[in-house]
Amino acid sequence: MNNSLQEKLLLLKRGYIKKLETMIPEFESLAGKISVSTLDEIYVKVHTISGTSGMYGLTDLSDFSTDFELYLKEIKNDVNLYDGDVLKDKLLSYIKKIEEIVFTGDKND
Amino acid sequence: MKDLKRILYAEDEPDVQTVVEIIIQSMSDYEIKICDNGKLLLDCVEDYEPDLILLDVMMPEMDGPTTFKNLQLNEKTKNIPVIFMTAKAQVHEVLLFQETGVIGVITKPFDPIVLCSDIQKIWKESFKNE
Repeated sequence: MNNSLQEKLLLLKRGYIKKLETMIPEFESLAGKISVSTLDEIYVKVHTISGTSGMYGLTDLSDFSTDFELYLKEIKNDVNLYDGDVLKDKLLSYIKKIEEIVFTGDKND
Repeated sequence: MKDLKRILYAEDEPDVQTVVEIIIQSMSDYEIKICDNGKLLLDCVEDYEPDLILLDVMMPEMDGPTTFKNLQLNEKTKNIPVIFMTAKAQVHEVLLFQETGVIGVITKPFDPIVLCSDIQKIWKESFKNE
């Protein structure tokens, strides 16, 4: 891979980390109003982060997102498994994970 | 084996669109056009005449599997090879489509650096039995 391409990808990755920062208040807002009706919204956001963060080499966040996505998928498919407190805890851990990337940077960088 | 020249890709995530476009343009001779969802891809597929279609699975307006079904229903598009680009969490669902004509599945997150070689590998593999 040439230097120019590497540089372009690095700039895009930094831009994406900035974008992640703007998602923190969105997730905090969702954590404050957790219900079965917010599941789809959380799922779409987490699904997107799973693919995009992994493409930029943010492996920890991507793996965490994939696990969270699978959990969300499970409760979306069987609402009897839904537990608001558990989901809120998971969402708060997720926000913490995003904050780690945003405020301390990517350790692979 | 037919030459791969023109790729049409449906993907809603802007970061993925940008990275794929940059990678394809920098690391291959393929021409690529990107649409924000499956519905928009169906609107331009006949004019663009792609050799290959890449479909994200989860998209607003029209998702990948529905887009694939629509392509299959159209005489002019039913023979265009399709590759699904999908999240790890959805792979088992998409694998079902391989039996109905999809030539491959690329799992997200993908490594941009090997994307072109992955596409080329699936493309070559699809002509193996011809």
